[in-house]
Amino acid sequence: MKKLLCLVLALLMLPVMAIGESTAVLNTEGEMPIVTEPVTLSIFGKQGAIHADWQTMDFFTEYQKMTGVTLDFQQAPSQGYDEAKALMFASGVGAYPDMLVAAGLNGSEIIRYGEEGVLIPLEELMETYAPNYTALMEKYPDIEGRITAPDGHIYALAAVIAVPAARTAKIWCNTAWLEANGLEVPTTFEELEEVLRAFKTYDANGNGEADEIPIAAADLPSWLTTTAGMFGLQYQFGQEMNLSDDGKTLTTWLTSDEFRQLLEWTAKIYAEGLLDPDIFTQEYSEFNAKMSGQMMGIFFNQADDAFDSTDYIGIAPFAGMSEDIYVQSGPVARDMGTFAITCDCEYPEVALRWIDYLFSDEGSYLERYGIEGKTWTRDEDGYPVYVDGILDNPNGSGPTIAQFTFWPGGGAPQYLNENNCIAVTSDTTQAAQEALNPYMDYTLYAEPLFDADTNSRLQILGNDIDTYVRSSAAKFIRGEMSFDEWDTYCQTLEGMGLQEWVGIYQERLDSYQQ
Amino acid sequence: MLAKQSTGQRLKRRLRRDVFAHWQLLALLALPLAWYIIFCYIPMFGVQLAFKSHKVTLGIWQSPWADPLFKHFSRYFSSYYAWSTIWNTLALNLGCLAIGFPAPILLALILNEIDNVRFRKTLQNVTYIPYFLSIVVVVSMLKLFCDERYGVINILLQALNLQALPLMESERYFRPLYVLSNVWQNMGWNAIIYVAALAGIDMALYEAATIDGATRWQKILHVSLPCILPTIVTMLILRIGQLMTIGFEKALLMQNDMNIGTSEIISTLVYKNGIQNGDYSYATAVGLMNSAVNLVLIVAANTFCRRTLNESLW
Amino acid sequence: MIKTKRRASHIRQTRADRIFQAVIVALGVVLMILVAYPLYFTVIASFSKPEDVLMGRVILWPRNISFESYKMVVAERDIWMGYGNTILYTVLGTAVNMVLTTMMAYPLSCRETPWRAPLTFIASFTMLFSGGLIPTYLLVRQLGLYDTIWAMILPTGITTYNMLVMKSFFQSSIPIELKEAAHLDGCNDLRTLLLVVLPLSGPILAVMVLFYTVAHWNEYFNALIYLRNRSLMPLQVILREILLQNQELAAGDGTGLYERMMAAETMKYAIIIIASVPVICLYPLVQRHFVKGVMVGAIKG
Repeated sequence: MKKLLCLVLALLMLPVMAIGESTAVLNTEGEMPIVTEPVTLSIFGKQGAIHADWQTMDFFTEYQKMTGVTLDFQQAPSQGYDEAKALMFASGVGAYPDMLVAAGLNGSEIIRYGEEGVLIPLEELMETYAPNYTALMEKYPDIEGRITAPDGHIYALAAVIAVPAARTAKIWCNTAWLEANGLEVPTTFEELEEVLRAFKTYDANGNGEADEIPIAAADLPSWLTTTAGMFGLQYQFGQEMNLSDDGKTLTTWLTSDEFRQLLEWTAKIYAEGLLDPDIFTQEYSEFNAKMSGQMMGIFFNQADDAFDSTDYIGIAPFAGMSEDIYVQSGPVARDMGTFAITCDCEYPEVALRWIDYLFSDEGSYLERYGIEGKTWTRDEDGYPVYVDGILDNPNGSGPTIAQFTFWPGGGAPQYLNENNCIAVTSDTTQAAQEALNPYMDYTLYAEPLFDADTNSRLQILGNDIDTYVRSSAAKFIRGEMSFDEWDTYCQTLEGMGLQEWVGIYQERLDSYQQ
Repeated sequence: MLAKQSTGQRLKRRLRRDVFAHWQLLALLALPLAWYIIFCYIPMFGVQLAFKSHKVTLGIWQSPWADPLFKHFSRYFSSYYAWSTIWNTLALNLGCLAIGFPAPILLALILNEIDNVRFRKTLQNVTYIPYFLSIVVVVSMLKLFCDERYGVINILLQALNLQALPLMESERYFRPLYVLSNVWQNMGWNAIIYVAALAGIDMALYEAATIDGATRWQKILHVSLPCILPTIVTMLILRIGQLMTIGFEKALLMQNDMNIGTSEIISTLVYKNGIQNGDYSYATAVGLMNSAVNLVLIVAANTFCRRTLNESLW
Repeated sequence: MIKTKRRASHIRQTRADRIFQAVIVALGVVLMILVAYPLYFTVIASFSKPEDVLMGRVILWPRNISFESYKMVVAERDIWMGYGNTILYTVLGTAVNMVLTTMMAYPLSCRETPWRAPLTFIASFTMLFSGGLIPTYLLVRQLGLYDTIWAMILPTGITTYNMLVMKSFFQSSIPIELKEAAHLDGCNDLRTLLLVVLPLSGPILAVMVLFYTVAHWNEYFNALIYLRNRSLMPLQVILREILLQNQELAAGDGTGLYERMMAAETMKYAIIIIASVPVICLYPLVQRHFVKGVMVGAIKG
């Protein structure tokens, strides 16, 4: 016990000692380079499927020169990334990388490794070394609640996405196909079905094969998240739950008639061959190829960066199934766990200042646009503009940008605002967002952080429920399970502890209201 | 008493002489033995993780004991999916045993009966080939052949005016596909031993049977099969000893959201919880439970083997 | 010898025997087709035009023979990098395996080795029980092998089953008299092993090389967990990405992702061929020794 206490104490002291030792290397605040003598920081993160090697990216080479902080790259590829991440955490004190950047830490990892002392608490350091991020937290008060653990510490920083259009999935509709069939933009489910049936038989590319897909999503979860709102279903706390009108009670809709209705409708269009059967199995790269190949009539995606949107417009959710229609939207702190510092980092304040600069305007230009003069220039107002050949690149702007910086694909620590968001929110995307705006005016709680015990209970419940719902939904849709078995499905879910699961979130809601 | 002591002493003396005279043999052993200790025995102490609450900062030894001690085991059994993963593991392995075990014996018998040497050799060599393919390649071939739209199996089905089947994406077809592709891959290889055993049968037995007027079918039943029976039984027991262990890599590669209901076996669960979620204590506990069942099976198979056949693994 | 004798006995075939033979041959042909067709299809698909394969026009014969798929594979740098790594791991790994396995198996096969029984038990016990994935991973990490080529070689240093097969070969196939004679001639244990035993152990050495080579060539899981650096990845990991996870391929020009995806689909057949041919070719080389080596192991192992 004594030994344990010593260890815990030593761990708590670690950051304190580190600060005492190393402030000497820091340059004055707001000046570059960050350090007065060379410092090396190792960096771990997820190198996305479309990314070039991080080491060769303009952003990283330039930022190393600028800051005087040499990076030791330990990033892992997106294939098998979860394994790499878990094994990294298992490697033990002394072997951790200094910074976790775009490492995709989820809530339970932040809590678990934060409480165990792998991730150091940042809140005190932030006051001194992260002025930009602190300012953003003041500007967007929601951030604090989302990144603060129940023990009061901040173990990881979230990305700040200050543009609403970057937090929703748009409904894209192919207007060329509509015109060719003499149809209008569908506004109700009835019209939608009519349009889809027309698309089904329409040979857009004229190759004689029926390879056009009437409607699709990247996968089953994203199909459900996007369509659920049209059936009056919300994702409170990021989970399948609705908030009562008085804002006091949570109920899960996994066993509700509305969800059943959603599945029945999906099963119907699936049976008619209107829904892309690949949504159950495909990898994101395949969906990507279908977008850029202009193969889908209607589909859901956040932006138009992966395809040529000349023939597409963003449309409003379809009416007719529910009085209330909701559009699910991510919070300002959309991506959690985008940046953390480990207990092995000798220079936490250097690391913090390193990341903080990226949350300033100029820093965000560097991160999002690359090197000035090479991949972007300034317009007359001083705002960044990509050079030609990037946004209009035939491979899609995302993969092109991913050659010189690391934010495409999501999960990067970044500050996205109206001035630097053109790549993910083109004018077309902004217009598509307008169509969704009327449906976003309701209270929506973001997924919070729970304490370790609650969290581990939640994980067990959540895993079972999630797995069961996903596989049952697929079976209902594909007709492998008939809707006569709906009651069995509900009972099984209840047996898995559905109410206990809701209860944990209800408790959190209650605590918010006190 | 006296005699005993002197034998003891004699043994000791002999040992000393052997150690001295054969130091080279022991020296040879040093390196591989070190390998065994480092790569096999040190990790064995790691199973204590199953009874601990693993903290990555403290490591295996310093992490506190789980409270209660069997916390991770009870967590497993309280999960909705516990029994279904156990059943899936058993069903998959029993399937492989029921179909995969007799297949090579049949192949060996067929090979043995083929008179044309050329054809026999060709058949034998062709059936070996799949064994050399990696699991990644075999699963890829499965995926390519079973594709709902472009796979050759479904193209053939449609040519016969039948409905295309989502073979890879269905709980129903996971086990048959798994078992049959296993048979396809290993049948030829596993037949080697039976072919060798059949070749070793004394020709006089067949000749005697011929004189008694036995047909070739009768010779198979009354000469070939009884003669290779000991080999069959030994192989069967060896196979039973692996009843819970095989199949991890292939099941993992074949798994997708659509077939998870039958493809989630104990080892894939361990992998997901341990390697992907970093929940090492829980993963180790589930894995340990699996190893324990397996150890019991091996010991039982071995005892059975020793009692009935006077042959055993140790 | 045995076989000639047997064929002689078949000369006097009855009518029933001939029918029986016909049935057997028919069964053999069916089996042959079942086993060979998937292999055959992979080969013809890899040589056909992608569209023909995807539209189901390639069933029995290649159509519009083209090397398009192979050309695309050649352009895949990752595959060749993986190939190089796999060859390195296979050669080096098999060498380490052979040395370690022999060093263990030979002394355990000699009756005069002190503590032979407990030592054999130490080795055999590892077949029954192992520490499992996580502890092994932590060890590899602590030893500093993580993300080095040694992580692909040392943890798989000895396969106990193979070692026991080798041991029983030494016990059953090397006459004790020979070893005794060598000793009388003044050979010490090491020289006996090198000059007398190993030259007589061709079959088992060949079989062991085959076992280990195949295992190294087909290894992917260790690479997945022990390696991070992409330039160290062996072929199977790359194959998994391309074949099973449909990772986008660099091949092809800017002409639309969809066309590329379609072409990539048939390219997979060519990749399968290229990745498997070397290890399949190995078999005929050791085939001669095969039955003997496997037999000894399986019966006594």
